[in-house]
Amino acid sequence: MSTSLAEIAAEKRLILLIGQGGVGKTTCAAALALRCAAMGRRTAVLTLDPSPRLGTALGLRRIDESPRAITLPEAVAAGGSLDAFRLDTKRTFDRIVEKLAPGPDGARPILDHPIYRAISSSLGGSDAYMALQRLYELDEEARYEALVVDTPPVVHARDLLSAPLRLSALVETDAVRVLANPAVALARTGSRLAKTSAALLLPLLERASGLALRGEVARFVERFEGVLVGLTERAGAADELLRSSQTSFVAVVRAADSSPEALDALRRTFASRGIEIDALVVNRLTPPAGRDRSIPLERRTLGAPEGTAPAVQCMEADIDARRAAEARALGRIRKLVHAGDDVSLVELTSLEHDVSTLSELETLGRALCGGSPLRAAKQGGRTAEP
Amino acid sequence: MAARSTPCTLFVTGKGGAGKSLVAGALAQEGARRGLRVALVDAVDPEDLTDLSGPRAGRAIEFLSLDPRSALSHLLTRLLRFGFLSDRLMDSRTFSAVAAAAPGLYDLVRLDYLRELAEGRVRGRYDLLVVNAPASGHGVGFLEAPRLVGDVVPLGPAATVARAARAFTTAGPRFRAVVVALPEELSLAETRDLHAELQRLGVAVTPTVVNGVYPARASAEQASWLLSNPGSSDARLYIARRERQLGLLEAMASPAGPALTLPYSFKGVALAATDRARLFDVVAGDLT
Repeated sequence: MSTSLAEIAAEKRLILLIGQGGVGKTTCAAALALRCAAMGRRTAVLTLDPSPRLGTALGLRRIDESPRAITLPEAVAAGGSLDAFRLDTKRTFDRIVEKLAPGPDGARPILDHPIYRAISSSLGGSDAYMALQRLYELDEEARYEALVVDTPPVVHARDLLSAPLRLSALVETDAVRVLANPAVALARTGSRLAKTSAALLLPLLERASGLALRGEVARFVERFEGVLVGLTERAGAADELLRSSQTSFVAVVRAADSSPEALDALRRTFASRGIEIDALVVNRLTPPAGRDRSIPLERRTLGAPEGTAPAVQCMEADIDARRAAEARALGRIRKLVHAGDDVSLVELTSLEHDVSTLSELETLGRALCGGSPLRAAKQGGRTAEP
Repeated sequence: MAARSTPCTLFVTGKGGAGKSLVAGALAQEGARRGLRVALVDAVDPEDLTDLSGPRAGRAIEFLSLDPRSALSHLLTRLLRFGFLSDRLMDSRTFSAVAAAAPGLYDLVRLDYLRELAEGRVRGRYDLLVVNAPASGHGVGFLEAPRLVGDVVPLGPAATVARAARAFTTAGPRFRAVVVALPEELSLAETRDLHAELQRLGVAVTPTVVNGVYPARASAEQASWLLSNPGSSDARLYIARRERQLGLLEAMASPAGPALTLPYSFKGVALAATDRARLFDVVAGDLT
């Protein structure tokens, strides 16, 4: 039994929008968050990289790290509210370290240490990890009934999911432990072959590190130990949050450049971690052909400059080709969705301009949650443009 | 004509979905057609391989893939001077421990291998090395590795490798980053950030390649008439989309000059030979 976006907006505590950059994820997140608020829920929408236009649409001069309230009469009437804020990954990590760093010196020696700087800036998926840490913080604060998150566009979905565990595993086990005590860490690998290679690699590591292994790194590890314990706990909690039944994943794709194979692979990646994608939004569909196409070309271009008719013919053929390609992709997507597990499918027609007002966001929100001209019918033809 | 013994590396980068594989493939194909010895390095994660659609049929192009494990083994063999240190010794857990031990090492090793390839020390000599870089989630991806590793390990062999890799990527016309972008608002901001970072790293760039621009089908006069008359809703759609795209182009310019555009393919066919030639002329025309 599939969960519609309306149900997701009404019931889920954490809603994560996933998808590549440029598909309309951020806009959909804002629109969905508006619906949650309109349903009377205390809602927050969290974005990583909001465009200035989105800020304007929400009525904010800019979206920054602190929550800013959006003025929504409809929500207020229902008892709901909406705050919007941006995720600052570096500040989030520094804040975590500050909170967890033990001792009188506090966090400064860690934050300034080159190893910390290298770890915090070069971890693959650290944006994803920070987004989830921020969620964990917000979840703990229990200020909001619904959190809608525009996730960072990680290259692979698996990076998002494994981020919490990977960070602590990476920092705790491999990076720091190996540098601090290579013999012990590498010896743990077990086989004779591994031990031989460990013995050969050890001198390399010691020479290559350029740092006195027993001194510099050990000092860093000592300070970081306390942070590590805290990080591990949070990592576990953040991971649980992702898997909770109160959490919902919504994928946003563009018909033009999504292949059903890629989508299926995405679904399987999530499934292998025990997480189901609840809804799929296919965005930016080319609007259907207008009624003017039934009128002969010569009549439509009467009075136009010379050569306009063939130019129109060319352009119409191009747009038709695009529609055909989208229809083919959509057909395959629909088959996939209906054949597999229960995933709600929403098909959205392109607006041909960026959403820039609150009213447009509200319209989009209603289209996502059902029953509006923007939303194409699930089966068969598309509804006409409003 | 540039000396054939000095190979040129084209590092094709940009966000996922912009058309990097398409551009890298086209550059390799055209280079080979013009008589250069070309190697096309995929440098993508194995999981991405199923998505590649760039032309594989080419004349005299050597297809190489950047397997990080063999790259690391190659590096270690050089550093340790032990010929017998082969892949067999690098069991996967040890490898991931080493890779994780120094942040950026994984990328630095691959970059080092590219340098070795370019300098003809691995598989033979090439005139042109085209690298289809992995889609970087953020920033310049592995071009930043020399700096990252250099910060943590300022001395020793790793630092030496980092310095050599850095010199390789900042060798001016012999190493060029080709940024591929889409004619969309979001892509514009990302492209600007990417160019700023490349500049900060001292990496030379070519003009930006903007992929997917709607070709002009109507003259200015015809377009103007179509936009102000009910005649064709699709033509209005087309013209409006094209105008939005063109509006972004100026801002997509790189320090090397105005952007080069590649047409959107409505029928899903590969690039035309004339577009390939034009692309090569702008990006690497000085090589032939």
